[in-house]
Amino acid sequence: MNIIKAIKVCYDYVSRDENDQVISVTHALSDLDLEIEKGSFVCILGHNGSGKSTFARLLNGLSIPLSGTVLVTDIDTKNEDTLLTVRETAGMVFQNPDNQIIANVVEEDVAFGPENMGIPTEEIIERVDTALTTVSMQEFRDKSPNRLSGGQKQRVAIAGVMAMKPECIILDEPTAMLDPLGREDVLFTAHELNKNEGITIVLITHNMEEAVDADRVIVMDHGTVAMDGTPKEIFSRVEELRKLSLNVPEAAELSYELKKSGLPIRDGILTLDELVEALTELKK
Amino acid sequence: MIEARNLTHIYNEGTAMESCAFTDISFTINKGEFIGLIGHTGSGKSTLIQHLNGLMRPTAGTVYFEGEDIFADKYDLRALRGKVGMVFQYPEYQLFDETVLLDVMFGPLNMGLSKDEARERALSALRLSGLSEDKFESSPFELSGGQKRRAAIAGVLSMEPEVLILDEPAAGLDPGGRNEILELVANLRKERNITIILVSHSMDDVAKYADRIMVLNKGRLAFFDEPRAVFSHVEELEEMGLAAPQMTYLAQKLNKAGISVDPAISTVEEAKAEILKAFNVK
Amino acid sequence: MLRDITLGQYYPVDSVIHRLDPRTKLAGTFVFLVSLFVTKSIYGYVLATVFLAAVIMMSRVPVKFITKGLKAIVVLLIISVSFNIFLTEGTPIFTLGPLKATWEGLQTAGFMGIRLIYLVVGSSILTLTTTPNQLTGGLEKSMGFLRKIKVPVHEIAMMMSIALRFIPILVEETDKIMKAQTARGADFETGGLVKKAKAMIPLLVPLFISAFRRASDLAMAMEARCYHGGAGRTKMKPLKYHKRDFIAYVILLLYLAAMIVIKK
Repeated sequence: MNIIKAIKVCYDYVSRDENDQVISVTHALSDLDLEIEKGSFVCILGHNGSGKSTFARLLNGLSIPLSGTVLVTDIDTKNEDTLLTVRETAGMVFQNPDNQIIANVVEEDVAFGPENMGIPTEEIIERVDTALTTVSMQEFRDKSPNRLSGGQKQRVAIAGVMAMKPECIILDEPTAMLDPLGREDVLFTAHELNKNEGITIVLITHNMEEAVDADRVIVMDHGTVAMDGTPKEIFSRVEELRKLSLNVPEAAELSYELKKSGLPIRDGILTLDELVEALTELKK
Repeated sequence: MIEARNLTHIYNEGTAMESCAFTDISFTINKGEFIGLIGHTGSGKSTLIQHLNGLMRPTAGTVYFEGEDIFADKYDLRALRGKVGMVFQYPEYQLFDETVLLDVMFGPLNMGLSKDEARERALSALRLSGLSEDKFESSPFELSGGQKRRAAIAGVLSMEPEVLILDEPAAGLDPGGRNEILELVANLRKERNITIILVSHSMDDVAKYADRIMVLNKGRLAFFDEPRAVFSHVEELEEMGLAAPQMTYLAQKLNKAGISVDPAISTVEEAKAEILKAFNVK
Repeated sequence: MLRDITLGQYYPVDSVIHRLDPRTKLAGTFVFLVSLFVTKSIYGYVLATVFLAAVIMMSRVPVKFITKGLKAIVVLLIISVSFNIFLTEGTPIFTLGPLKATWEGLQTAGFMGIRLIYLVVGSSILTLTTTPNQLTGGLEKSMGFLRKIKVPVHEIAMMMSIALRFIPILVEETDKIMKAQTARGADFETGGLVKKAKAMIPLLVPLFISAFRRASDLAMAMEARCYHGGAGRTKMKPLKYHKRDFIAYVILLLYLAAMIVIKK
């Protein structure tokens, strides 16, 4: 079953001068067709300006497509009456950890979503409890968010979405402003949610290493899908990715380079261990 | 060129919230060197670099620039800041003027240069930064993320510093943008012989460019040596929450699996050469 | 670091005062402040002192934290005390050039000083024992009647709470931009008023832009989490009066009554 369907979606950014005259139009998305399967872990890659963040915003109705349709569990995001249902179903985590935490205490921030949804008090407490446990932030529940590290703040943001019991979480470059430890932290949490809670994860990033463990990788360029496949398929297309201003994981890059130099190494290598294994076999 | 002697910095000394940023750090950086400074968040690296151009004062110890104590009473710190340039993390947030060119002229004008001289320097810095010429007269706020970053770096380059300190200059950019900015930094050293201090979380970035790597851990100088020597301490680095470059791990694993390669490789090019050698491919 | 400014910030311990309903604490602070202005007798001040000391003890907040707030008013305190000492007519103690210190002045100054100090200490106990969210929640609820005359009480409370969250972030950001511009040779310290004002431009422009960016990000994050104003909103910690609150109100009333009785 597909939880998200984008059909022929277009979206423009129009900038106007003081007299409301159009100065320039940027086509952020053009005729984008994309479906995301329920329960999957999907990674969307693309350089800055490829349209990936615009797409994220369409998925929970923060923006409405100029033309075309976005369906979240078959609900059209254009429909104002069901907009809140869409936002409950598809939660969002943003890039800047500071700019998405609303309350001054961790647990109160996690409660913000359920409060808006009008959930009864006892249930909010229960949900906040569960959400904080899921992201391993229980011990910080009565702390101020200002005292947390970037990775911890992002986990609070994820808990805030979890407390709304979404079916799908869209993470828009959640690790771009984090150090390596924070990055690992957030990624681990996202994978746990996918595995243990069955939540569909759409991870938007330009860090290639983060895409290695995804079920599916979608590469965007010029507001449309440029490549779509498993990580193995995508990362063997090194030249194409480079043209799109993207890298491949170093292990994949090295195997590609080795192959180019005449070493008969097998395709689809993504991790160091796979590379070592392939080389050992070759040695025999 | 820059020498730190027994530097110690303690925050809020004498209060309940006293905390130590770093203790007793000494090192010497030579002219034209490319130094990588590595440490995880909270290791004290951001505080340390702010001492090198006098933005922060040490609790104890001092810094010498070309043999002179920069914290001495009569020392002209403002002049020093023209010689030791500093590009902060996300430097695009410091852009403020009407046009990119005016913004880049801000530094030279503060140094007391005339408008024409400032303009000359700004233009040359902007060209060096690789920002396309048609953007010089646009508002800095209309540029894309990567372009803003270049403009902001040009804003420091226009002071024509002898030393350039960059705090995570590639943070938040996509891989293409990252490479471009790091190449730009490497070029500054190559073409202008500017001494570079590059602060980064990423061993992989630093491994590619640095002559020597400084590793800061819990406010102490853990290592300061050539990359090969630093990366041979894989286990210690991991204990500090820092990873060695991916390719160093690969070398380790290959050696364990009976394919002998140089254990201190750190970049994809080195790894490729070593593996091809091991397999006797020409 | 600027993030560590504690002036009036919440001090997280568990105490009776912490557990009181924020509305009770708001009312308590209000009553205490009023009582300071009602009384003119030394006994009144003794009673206020006892009351304040008891509350501080019960709050379990270290005195050190409470008096920290006083640093901010030291200058104000010195000015107003010396004004009172020298400018009140009465029996002179000594003269200092054209200035004449009087006994009456000394007395008024003493009361004035105590009043100011108690004012600050009293209100910092409120903020030290109440999280900003409880505080805004309390204000929202106690001012709820204003909604009838179309005052957007919920929105104001939400704005206050967000402002509280972002003040430390923006303070830190100011520090960062200031350093970045200083590194580019900017000078924020020397020069006359005009030069100083001009020097602020490279600081203020980026700061405003950043504040607007944060505001727009935050608005989006709130919307994404189904925020749609105060209508239909529930609370994780709804305000409910407990037995301790009623006891507190009784004590407050008794205290106020006593203060009025001994006001001369």
